Amino acid sequence: MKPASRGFASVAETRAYLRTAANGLCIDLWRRREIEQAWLQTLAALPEPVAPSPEHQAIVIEALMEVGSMLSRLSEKAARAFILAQVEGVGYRDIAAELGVSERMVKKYIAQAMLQCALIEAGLAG
Amino acid sequence: MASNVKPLADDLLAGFGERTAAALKPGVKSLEQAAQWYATLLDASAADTDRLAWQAWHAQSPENQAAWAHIENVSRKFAPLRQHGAQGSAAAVASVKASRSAALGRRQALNALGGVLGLGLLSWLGWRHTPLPDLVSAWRADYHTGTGERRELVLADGSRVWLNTATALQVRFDADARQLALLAGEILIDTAADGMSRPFYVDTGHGRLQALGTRFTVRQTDDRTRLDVFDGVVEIRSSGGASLRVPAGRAAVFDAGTVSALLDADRAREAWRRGSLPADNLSLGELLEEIGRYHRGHISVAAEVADLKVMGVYPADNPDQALAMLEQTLPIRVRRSLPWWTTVEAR
Repeated sequence: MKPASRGFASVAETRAYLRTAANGLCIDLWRRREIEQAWLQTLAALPEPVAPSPEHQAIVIEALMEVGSMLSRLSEKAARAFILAQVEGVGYRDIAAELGVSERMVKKYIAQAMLQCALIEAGLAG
Repeated sequence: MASNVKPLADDLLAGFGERTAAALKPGVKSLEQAAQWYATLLDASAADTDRLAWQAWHAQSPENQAAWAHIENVSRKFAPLRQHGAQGSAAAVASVKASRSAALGRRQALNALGGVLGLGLLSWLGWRHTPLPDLVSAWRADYHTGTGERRELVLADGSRVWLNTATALQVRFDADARQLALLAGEILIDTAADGMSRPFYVDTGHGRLQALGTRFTVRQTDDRTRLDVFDGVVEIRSSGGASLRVPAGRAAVFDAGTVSALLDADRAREAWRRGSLPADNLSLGELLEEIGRYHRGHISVAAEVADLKVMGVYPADNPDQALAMLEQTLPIRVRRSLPWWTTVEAR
């Protein structure tokens, strides 16, 4: 939402900006709902039903939202490689086998993904 | 599944780096380097040399430390998902997909406004594993010690020099002068009277020291040199021309431009020769930083315990024992999830 910083030339432009911002919020809301649903389904599908506390659920969903948007600009494979390494601690060799790429490529993906996330985290990415 | 990879990600949560992160904003280049290091170290086949090189990179500048702190922050964001294993992964992948289409929707809306926010593609190619200055200097040194090593030399004039951990030293004696060049690390010198009455110099990257019949230590870090004098007098002349005479019991810190006021000499700067690390009301963070110099791996200290006060004498040549001693007297827990990565946190 960069436009705010440069000021608005007209009322029409201001309106357009607000509409866009609202649109963005809606999209985030849909996204949250979608992620929440997916997470609850995942839990429901477990052989042994688990009932984590609402607080824990909220933490997980928040993490999913954040991780999702951090990785959304990466290629699908890079995002998956990073997730497998981060969440499950899968080694490069196994990730390579799973994605059908070389280990060197996995390492590249990991560096690429980490950079993307770190840029966002440091406030250096759009 | 190489389960030994996971602890690194966990350890990145340890809070190390938080203290420096806020102070400095790293540039894109150092973030690129940090990300590259992360990918290297996470690899199960990472070698000791990689870890050493990473340590040197990390120690090189506050900017690098700040960049690494961002890497840790990113890793920390994944923590809630880790305990859910494969489900956590699957949900994260799904979330990326959802975010991608959401971002697409948002971008279309923005495009309509005329504000296209493209994320510049960053170049990876510029950066390779740079040979680090410390390691390079060790290769052209006459004498050097690895991490955790100490070494004693007797020079041609009878002067004695002790090299502390990770130190590189050149020695040049000629008809006019006795010259040492400290390329990296720390030395303790006990000068002998010279039959030819040649001056005794120690050069560092920041200036020249002239010993006037003495016992002193010189420790060089990237941005400065510290001198502690235990006997006699040493004169500092920084590369920029600033000078100061430091008498016994006093110390000073200098870089190329400036020389500090006189400080009290730190007896720890002499004690390492005997393999001990005295802590006289040091903070745990400071002591572990010192211990870290003798340790091949990386020691990460959680912010909430870094300020605990520490008293006592710890073995310099046995970091593991020192950590065990600390664990007994302080409310801390020492975790070693990877051979080279130690985490010290609240118990």
